[in-house]
Amino acid sequence: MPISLEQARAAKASAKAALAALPGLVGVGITKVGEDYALKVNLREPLPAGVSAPERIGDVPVLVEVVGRITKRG
Amino acid sequence: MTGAMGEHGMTELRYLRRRANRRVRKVRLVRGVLRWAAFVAVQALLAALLVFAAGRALAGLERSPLLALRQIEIEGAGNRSFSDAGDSGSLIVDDEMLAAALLFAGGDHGGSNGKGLTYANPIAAVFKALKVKLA
Repeated sequence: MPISLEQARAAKASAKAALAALPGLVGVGITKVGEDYALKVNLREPLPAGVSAPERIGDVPVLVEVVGRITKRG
Repeated sequence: MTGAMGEHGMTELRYLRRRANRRVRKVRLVRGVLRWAAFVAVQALLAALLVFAAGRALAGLERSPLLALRQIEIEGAGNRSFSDAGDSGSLIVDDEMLAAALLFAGGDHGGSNGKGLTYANPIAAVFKALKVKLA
């Protein structure tokens, strides 16, 4: 059974504090991977050696992407 | 009062001056302690106000309609970035040319094409935050 949007939203809410501790975190969102909804963790730079993001929060997969610095497009 | 020896073994004038000086020192000490206590109280009050204000601001941010209604991440099609410098405020439309979101930020890394990602606020959240409606 695919992971639903509601499951992903619940996982996001419960993992907020744990994910906020990741160095260089710029955003946490929800994305789709195939049929499943997943958490998307955006980082400014790759995680340092020895630090890793969780692969799943409960049943919900976690996708990590290095997106660099986010600035306003002014 | 002019120099006669008093009962304290010194002239009456010197005795009175010394008593007066002692009283002055006592008053200065009390004033100093009061000033220090007032300074500490004001600092403590300012720190408490700062913590309270920061707490209120964070709580307000959490309740912000822009954050509550979820921002959108967009990547460009093909080999291009979806947005560039100067694009903030652009209206993003759907394939029926209906308003979908308002562009506000982006970066130069990430996305499946590696050209960076763009961030926008859903148009309903923008209308709600600005308390406006389309005529």
